[in-house]
Amino acid sequence: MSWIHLYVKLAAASLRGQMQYKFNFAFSTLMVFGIFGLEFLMVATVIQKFGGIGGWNVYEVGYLFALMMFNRALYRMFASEVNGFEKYLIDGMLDQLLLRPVPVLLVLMTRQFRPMLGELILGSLILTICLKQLDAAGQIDWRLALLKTVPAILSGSVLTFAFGLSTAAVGFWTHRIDDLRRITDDATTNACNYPLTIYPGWMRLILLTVLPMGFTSFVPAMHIIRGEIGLWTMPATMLLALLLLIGALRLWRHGIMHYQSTGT
Amino acid sequence: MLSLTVARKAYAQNLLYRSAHIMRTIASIAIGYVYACIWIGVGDNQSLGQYGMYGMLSYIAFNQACLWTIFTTNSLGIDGLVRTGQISVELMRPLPFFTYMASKEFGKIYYQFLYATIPIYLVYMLLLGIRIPERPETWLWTLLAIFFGAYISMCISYVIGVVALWTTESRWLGSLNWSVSSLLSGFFIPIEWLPGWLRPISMFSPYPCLQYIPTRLYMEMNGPSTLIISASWSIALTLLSIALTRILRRRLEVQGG
Amino acid sequence: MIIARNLCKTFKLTVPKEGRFKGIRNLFASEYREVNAVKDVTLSIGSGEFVGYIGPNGAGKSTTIKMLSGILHPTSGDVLICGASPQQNRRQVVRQLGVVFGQRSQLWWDLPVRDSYDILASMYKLDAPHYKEQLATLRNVLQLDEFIDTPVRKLSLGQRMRADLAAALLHNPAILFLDEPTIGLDVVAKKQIRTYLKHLNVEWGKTILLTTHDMDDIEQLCSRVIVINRGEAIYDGSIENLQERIGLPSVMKLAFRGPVTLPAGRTEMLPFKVTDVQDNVLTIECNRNEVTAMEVLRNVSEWGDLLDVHIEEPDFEDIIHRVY
Repeated sequence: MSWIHLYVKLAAASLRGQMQYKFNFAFSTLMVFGIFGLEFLMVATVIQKFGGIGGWNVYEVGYLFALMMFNRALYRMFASEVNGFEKYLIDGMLDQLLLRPVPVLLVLMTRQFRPMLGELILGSLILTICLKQLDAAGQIDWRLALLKTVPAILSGSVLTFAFGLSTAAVGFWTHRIDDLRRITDDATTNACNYPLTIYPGWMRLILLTVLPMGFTSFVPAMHIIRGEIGLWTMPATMLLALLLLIGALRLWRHGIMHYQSTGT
Repeated sequence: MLSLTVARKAYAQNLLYRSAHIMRTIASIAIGYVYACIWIGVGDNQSLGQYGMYGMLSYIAFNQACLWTIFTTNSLGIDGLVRTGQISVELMRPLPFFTYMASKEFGKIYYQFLYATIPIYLVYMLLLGIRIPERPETWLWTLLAIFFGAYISMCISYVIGVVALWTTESRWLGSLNWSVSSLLSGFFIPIEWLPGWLRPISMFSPYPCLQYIPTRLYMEMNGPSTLIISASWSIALTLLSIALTRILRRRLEVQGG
Repeated sequence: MIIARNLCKTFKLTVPKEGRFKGIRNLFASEYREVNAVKDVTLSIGSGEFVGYIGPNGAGKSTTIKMLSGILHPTSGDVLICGASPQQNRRQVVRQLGVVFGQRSQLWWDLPVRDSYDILASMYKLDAPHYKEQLATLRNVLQLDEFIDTPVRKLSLGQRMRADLAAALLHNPAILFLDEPTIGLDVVAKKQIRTYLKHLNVEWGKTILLTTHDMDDIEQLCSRVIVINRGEAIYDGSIENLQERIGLPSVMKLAFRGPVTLPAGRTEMLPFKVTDVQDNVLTIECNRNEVTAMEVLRNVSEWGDLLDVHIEEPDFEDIIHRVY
């Protein structure tokens, strides 16, 4: 597909661009360790000290953390400009995207490619440790778990992307989205770093229905490492992710039409 | 008073973005609630030391509300001033640069205190029923501690802003400060529960003044004597800031503005 | 090439509420004010034309261009670019268009100029030999070589504009929309850009629609000018015609030997207007479509001994002022 070809070309170009700020690049990678690593250490310390949380031990929570890390990495890697869409709406940069013979979303996604190395390395690190430890405890077979983790991350990333895209699309009407994102993205991802069992029922319900980010980490983990729900939840999650993606794309297209017919 | 006017202007400027602000506050309430739930989850099968589960809930909730008083602008925007050359204009203002920047920042902090800290606190008080001080004077000590915390946080950002002039990027120093702060200030873990090697680092840093000291005062677990620590750090950081401003001025003069 | 029929564009603006709790009430704002940015604009531009599109700020120039290029949908009316509607076939029509916004670059900020072209080439699916050839031509015509390997952010404004022009031309579109391409440039760079634009129009036969605030651009480049004000196209024709239609007066300064006195009572009958008398210098305004300079001189010479004559023709800037 020529579009994939285009994307690869762009990713390479974008990487070259970032390499001009080598220090920044290296540092932002290190910063991920600083911010997310410290946060995880902080929480892990507590969980370890008090022997588990909501019935989950520290390695199980670590697995959730790693899944979320990968989701975030993949989403921001391919669609960092979807995440930062507000500036396009405010500076009128969106007009330029509409001048290309390619779908707007694709041009937008090609504007920047970020390798997200920090997240990927940290995620892999935590994932490896947790799977090994759970394997040693006889809870899982790490090879099988790893095999299942790949599609889980895939559907999780699609879900995260669908979420980000919907939020961005809302911007066609409201023009400001960075603050809405704090709720749909920051707050929910933060919540999904931990087993949903620690939350009261209404909150769990929200995270599995209205803002179904629970399907990016909690639901797959329930099957893959806890074995509490069946294998069928994996294709079901994937289906849900696809449905949400279609919905988000619809909303996006609708938003562009709205933008074109109202302007700014 | 000039610095009061500057603060008032900064306050009014922040009032403009209300709807954005409401979203931010809701997100903040939700994130704080997540942290509280983690402690509740942990406390399921363990009593949580001297705090108890209910105490920990109050501890986290109060910290989350106070977080907004120590949310300062990254390096107080000094890096931006330098990049645009605006700094030479700011340095020529009729009040000292540090006082000017501090006044501006305090306008913002005061705004955040009124429109974020207080609403968040009230929401937690009503929904989670967090602990309320028994002795009336506790309110005074707590407010004082919060004020010192805000001031210290502001000084740290100022120092970062000035120090960053010697490096190429100040953004990373700012975010490093932020993540270290969230660990060492006792925001999520009370300092006495930090791993052994981290505890002394935290104790000898100004970070506990930002959250641990105000919250412990609020929960009536420490007496007002801990305010001496906050006050000392405030004085020390003020002196450091003033000294650095002097160096900054000299450096800019050498460069020719 | 470009046909627009009865284009209208109405924007809805929310009216911010005043008074108490305005912050909260603005969250649920439902009051709108309608603004007609473009009202019933009809135009037709043929192949190879170089048209200037002028008007004061907020007159609706950019909105028109956005509708012509398919970025915005008109509230009513329709657009045809090479026979196709940019609204219905956006992706197909934009292949025929090269658009440059002077205020904003379409290049990738941190990348060398050449990389931006590579990306655009894949976006427009140009095949390698075509792309190579076109780039070589553009490098030659727009003299890109001196900065083609420099990151965009390090270019001067003039260089950036050349680079942007090349980016708009890479897919060899038949039509160019240029929105203030000379904005912020110094005199030398402006001149340079004009030379290139002339070349594109004359040698390559590109159809160009240019908006600008610089009347020298219009005077030196455009064969035709469309004036828009408050959303309405109020003039469409040649520059000379515009000049005539407005009938802007030429100013003549006449110096006499010794003080000059006007004959009483007769000045209203003259085919020109006396605007100022200062000792021995007389200033008059006349419309050169109605009266020749010789006639003026013949009349005036009766009033005294003529020493010197100076004629100032109206410049384009004044014409435009008059039209707005």
